[in-house]
Amino acid sequence: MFLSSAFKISLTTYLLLILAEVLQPGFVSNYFSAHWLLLIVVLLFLSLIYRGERLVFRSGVAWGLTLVVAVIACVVTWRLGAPLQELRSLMSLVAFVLSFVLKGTLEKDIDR
Amino acid sequence: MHRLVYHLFRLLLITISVSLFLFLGGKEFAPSGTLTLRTEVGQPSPFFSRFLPDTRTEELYRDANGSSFVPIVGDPTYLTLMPPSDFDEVELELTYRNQGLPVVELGVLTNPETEAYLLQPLQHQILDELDWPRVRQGDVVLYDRHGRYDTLADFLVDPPPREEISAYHYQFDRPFSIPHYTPNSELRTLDLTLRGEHEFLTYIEHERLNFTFEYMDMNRTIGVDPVSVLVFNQTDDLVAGKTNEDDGDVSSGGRGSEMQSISLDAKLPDGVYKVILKVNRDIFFRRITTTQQKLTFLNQLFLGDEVGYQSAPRSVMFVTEAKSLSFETQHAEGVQTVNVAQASVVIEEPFVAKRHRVRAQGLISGVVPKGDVLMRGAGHYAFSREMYFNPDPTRLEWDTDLDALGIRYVIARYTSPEITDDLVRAHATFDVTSIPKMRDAWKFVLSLPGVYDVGSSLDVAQVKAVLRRDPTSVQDFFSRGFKKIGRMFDSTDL
Repeated sequence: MFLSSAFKISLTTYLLLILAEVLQPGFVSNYFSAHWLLLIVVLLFLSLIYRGERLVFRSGVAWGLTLVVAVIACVVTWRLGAPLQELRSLMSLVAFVLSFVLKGTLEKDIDR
Repeated sequence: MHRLVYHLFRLLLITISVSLFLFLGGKEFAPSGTLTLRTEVGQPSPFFSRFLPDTRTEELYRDANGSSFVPIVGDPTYLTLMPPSDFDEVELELTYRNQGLPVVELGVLTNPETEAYLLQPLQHQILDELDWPRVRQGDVVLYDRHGRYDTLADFLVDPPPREEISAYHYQFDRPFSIPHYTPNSELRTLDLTLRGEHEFLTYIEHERLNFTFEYMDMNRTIGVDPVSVLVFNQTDDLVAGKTNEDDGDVSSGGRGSEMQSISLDAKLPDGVYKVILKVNRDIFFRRITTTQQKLTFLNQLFLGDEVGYQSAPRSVMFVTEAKSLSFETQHAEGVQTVNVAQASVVIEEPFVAKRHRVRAQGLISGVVPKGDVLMRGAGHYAFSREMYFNPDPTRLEWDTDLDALGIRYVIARYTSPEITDDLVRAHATFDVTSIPKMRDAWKFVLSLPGVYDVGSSLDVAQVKAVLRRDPTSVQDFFSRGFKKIGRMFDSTDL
């Protein structure tokens, strides 16, 4: 229970830090590297698997986190997509939608 | 019990997470209006660059206390500061070990086009060691050799002759007059090429201020090239001005325009006026015609090339009292030997500034055989001895001999730095509300006059910046937030 909570809060914090950094470059990286938190998230995740604990997100939280990932994916695709020219907008939209598609696919797999 | 511990644990983690965002938000939005940034030399910083160019610094070293120092051995060196958001004022503090340099100054880039810097003093050895009686009012200090004045106000109300005064970072705006000056209406023509922005002083007495500038727009860079002539009085009030629009060609093809002219004629009170030719480097002034007898340019002359105007280059003679000069050309054809007070200064290649220290006292003359040279150095420049005049008191340089010059008063905008053991902590404050940023960063210059003559170094340990603006209200917070979002979507990179 403790491990699961620590994982969820660390993951949420990490994703929000990345979102803030993506929207305002330097917001986080000017002061520290958010990826140290990713290391903690990975270690917590591995511990969860090792102990065989079940990880359940509330529906609202899951949608919220997916939205954050979708915005990050969209903005990063837009930034890196300048050479795509007119396809840039389309690819950014695909990146945004893809996060929700992945969420749905993962949920189906888990349900099975 | 177990449940309570679990909730406390969750609360602790959430508090840490929220605190992290509050800390980052505090840094980003600086709600108090003040943000302090610092860097130790040798440590990478997202806000400060290192001192550049590398050829003017030496290898980093550590002292016995473990502090790192980077020795700066050239002049000038540059440093940029990239603030996380906009601020109105920057107080930059340097902590360094001065290995014997006479003057340390810090400046901020105010005009990228002309590479003009607003310099402020950090340390001046002559002033620090001067044991004359002194009176201070705010940041202005008067060193009075014989203790004649009780207050600065007394000095300003009843000043001594200008020859007895030396000034350092102080604008001495007392009315100036030239004894036995007689106006006449004879037209004088300066037939030479000046490229880009220039500032000069002129003097009028019972006559009109009258200038005609003939120029060509050489269209060497993309964009419009307006021409403005602005006239300021001694208290820096704009008293006259005129602007011509671009020639209509905004390309960078290098096709010069026909000769154009801009004239200025104004009836103004007697005195000294500063005229600013506010243009970019596409504008080449080919001829200046005036009835004024006195005309001295300030701090730099950019003698332009004659390409697209006439076939052969022309030699240009100048006079100046400046003692520290640099000469640079931007073209292979401009490589030449400049004569300065009987000394030869060889400009060996384009884009490499050649420095020259003038040993002779007083006014010296020089000749630039082919023109096409950017000449810099604090002082006044004229194209004939008759036109030269200097309404300013003697400038206090790093090697000014106060006794030899008969200086009895030094007026300076200067505060000595703090010195603890051998570490100097000096700071300068800049109003940056109208200072342009280059790639989101302010550019600063560290100037060390005399560094090549003394052959010593300034070993910098730390750079600190205190950024200030008005405290952020809730309204400001949202307004800045929306501005940031707007900028993100305005930018093509999002």
